[in-house]
Amino acid sequence: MRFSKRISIAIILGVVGLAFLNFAPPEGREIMQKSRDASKLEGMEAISTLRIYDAKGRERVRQTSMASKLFDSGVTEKRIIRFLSPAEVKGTGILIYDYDERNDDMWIYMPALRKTRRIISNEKSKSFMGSEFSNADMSAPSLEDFDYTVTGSETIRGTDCWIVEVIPVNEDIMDRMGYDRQLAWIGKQDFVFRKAEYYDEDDELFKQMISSDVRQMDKSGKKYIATRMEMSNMQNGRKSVMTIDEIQYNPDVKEEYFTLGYLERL
Amino acid sequence: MRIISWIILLIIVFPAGAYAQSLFEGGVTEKMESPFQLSGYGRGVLYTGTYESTSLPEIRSGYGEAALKINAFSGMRGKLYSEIRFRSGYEFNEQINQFQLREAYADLYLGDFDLRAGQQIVAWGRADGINPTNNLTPRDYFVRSSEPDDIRMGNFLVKGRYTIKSRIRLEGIWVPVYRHSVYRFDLFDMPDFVNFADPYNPGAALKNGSFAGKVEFLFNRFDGSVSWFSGYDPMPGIDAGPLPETPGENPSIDLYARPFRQQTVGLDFSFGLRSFGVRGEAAYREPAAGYKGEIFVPNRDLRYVMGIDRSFGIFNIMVMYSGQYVFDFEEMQMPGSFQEIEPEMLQQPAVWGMLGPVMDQQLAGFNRVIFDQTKEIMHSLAARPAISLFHEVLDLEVFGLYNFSTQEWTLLPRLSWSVSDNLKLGIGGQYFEGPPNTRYDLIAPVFNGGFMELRYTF
Repeated sequence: MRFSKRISIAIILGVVGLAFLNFAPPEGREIMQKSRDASKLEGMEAISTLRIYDAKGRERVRQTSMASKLFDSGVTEKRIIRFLSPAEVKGTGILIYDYDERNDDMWIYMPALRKTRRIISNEKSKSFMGSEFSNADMSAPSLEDFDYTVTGSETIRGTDCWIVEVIPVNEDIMDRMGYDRQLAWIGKQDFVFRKAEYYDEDDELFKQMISSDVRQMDKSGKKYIATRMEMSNMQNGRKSVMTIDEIQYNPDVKEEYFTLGYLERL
Repeated sequence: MRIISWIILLIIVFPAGAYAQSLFEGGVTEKMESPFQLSGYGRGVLYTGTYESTSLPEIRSGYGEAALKINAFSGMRGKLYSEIRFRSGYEFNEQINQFQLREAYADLYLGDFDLRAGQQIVAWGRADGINPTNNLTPRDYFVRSSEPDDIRMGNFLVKGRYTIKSRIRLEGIWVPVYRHSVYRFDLFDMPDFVNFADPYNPGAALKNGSFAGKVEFLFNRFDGSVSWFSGYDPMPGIDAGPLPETPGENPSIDLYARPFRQQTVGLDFSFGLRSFGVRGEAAYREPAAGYKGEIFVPNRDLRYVMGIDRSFGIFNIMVMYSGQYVFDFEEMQMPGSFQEIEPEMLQQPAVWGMLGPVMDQQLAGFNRVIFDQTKEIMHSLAARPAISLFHEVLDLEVFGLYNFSTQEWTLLPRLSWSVSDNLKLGIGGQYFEGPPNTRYDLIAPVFNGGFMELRYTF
């Protein structure tokens, strides 16, 4: 009798435990890892347009061409971005080696300098081509650099999302990323960012990103890309919109794109 | 018959394959709607300046310039590139109409191997602005332009580069024909009996070629390279032509630029240290055996540069130390200047007889100034604070350098306003100062002043 009682308690605890496992939200880091995995494509090429609006609504347009490919069994994602317009920046290129577990390598080639220059981590908080996006937004930061907490759920434009609070683990990383705290709304099904808010050292909201027009890129692997990202500066009224005009899933994208030699070919 | 069919099929299919472009390439080459991509700029430039010398007129430069860059047949296997410029206006007190083929080269890409042949500019070195390893293509130190790249000149050369696993790059360069840097000696105060002759150019022969090699490492968080150069230094010294035994009725002295062969081994690096960027460079230069001791040739030297830079939001600051050690350095006793000799005095046999040695010593001293070898050890500190306002619409920067060994200093402020994506207004100034007979003292009359530039890029 005593034995069966123990079994019953164990079964009850087990069922409760399983239920808890089933219904408890995933850990913040797990969500971020899945989010990163969802956006990692074997290879892709795209043409994007970046529109920068000042507080008076005046527009400046930059067009870029981009390619990415996974290396080292998916641990490293290499990305190359080339500026197509305006003429002032045409020929400028950025090469990124994005690693899962360590800080990425980033180089910029500027035709006027005739040299490729390594972008130091601190420069990643700088504006990306005068837009509200930063250099850091062009690559996924190391997951180790942040603490993650799931703070709740919310539906964003019809998509059920986790809300994850992302806090850099030290001041150096805060400095590098250009924010002290981020709130990220990530789709529960596709793990795509739908919204992100960036808070400064006074915990004031200073930037907000809205992602939309999500496209499924690879049905078998459940890979997704948001083809429109709008970054608004809440403090100065400026806004930048990046749209992917054309995108192509291409696992066979040429490896030679992802070299400094190619970057320097103007 | 079947073979002919295959050949016809290949002829039809191969070009399509050769030019088939991915989305990324298509974007880069503008979808190849035309094999030619044109870009360039037009600009108006005005330089103002005053100086104290009474023997030279005041310098005011004003010119219009058009540049056309042509990128042709750009693809995964190669491309053609050229840049031509036409400048017309007024410069260094002269009317100018100047056509320049700045670059014209062909590229061949064979997988990990790239080959570039033609008139081209090569810029080596990871440090900011002061690059001891950069000895390949000449420079025009007297170009009136706010664009630092305009100081660089093209030269005909062949460059090959092999990339190993995207982390190591081997580069080899052959410069078959020498082209010297431009140093406008004629702008300096000289007596009437001094004549600036055409520079001496080594002929186009295989033995007169220059060679260079570089191994570059691109590691995680660290880039660096080791390089070597052997050949004619693009920066020549000044030499004097032979003096006749007697002065004759109208005595004159010919001065001319004369190059020398040298070898340089160098290294450079850049890496991130917390929030700082660290960039450095060092080079050891040794003139070839047949040139050592000549007045137009510098001593062996070791030059080194180390800089750090950091961004604070819209601010950026770069601080750089540069130094130099001159081997076999000997203090020089400067005799009376031959520039102070009156032409009529040259008729005196005693004066004419001592002119040669005096002039040689003067030129040796002048060459030391040109080659920055007036002290055995030199230390300089440079800083460049910069701020970018209104989201990269207005950029302000000041470059300042102080040489602790020679007490020379310079300030180069600059403001750049992007009126629109294509139109940019630049305003700035140049100020050099140094004790008498130092380099900055000599160039101050030529360069001190302000400039304004309006440029439209297309």
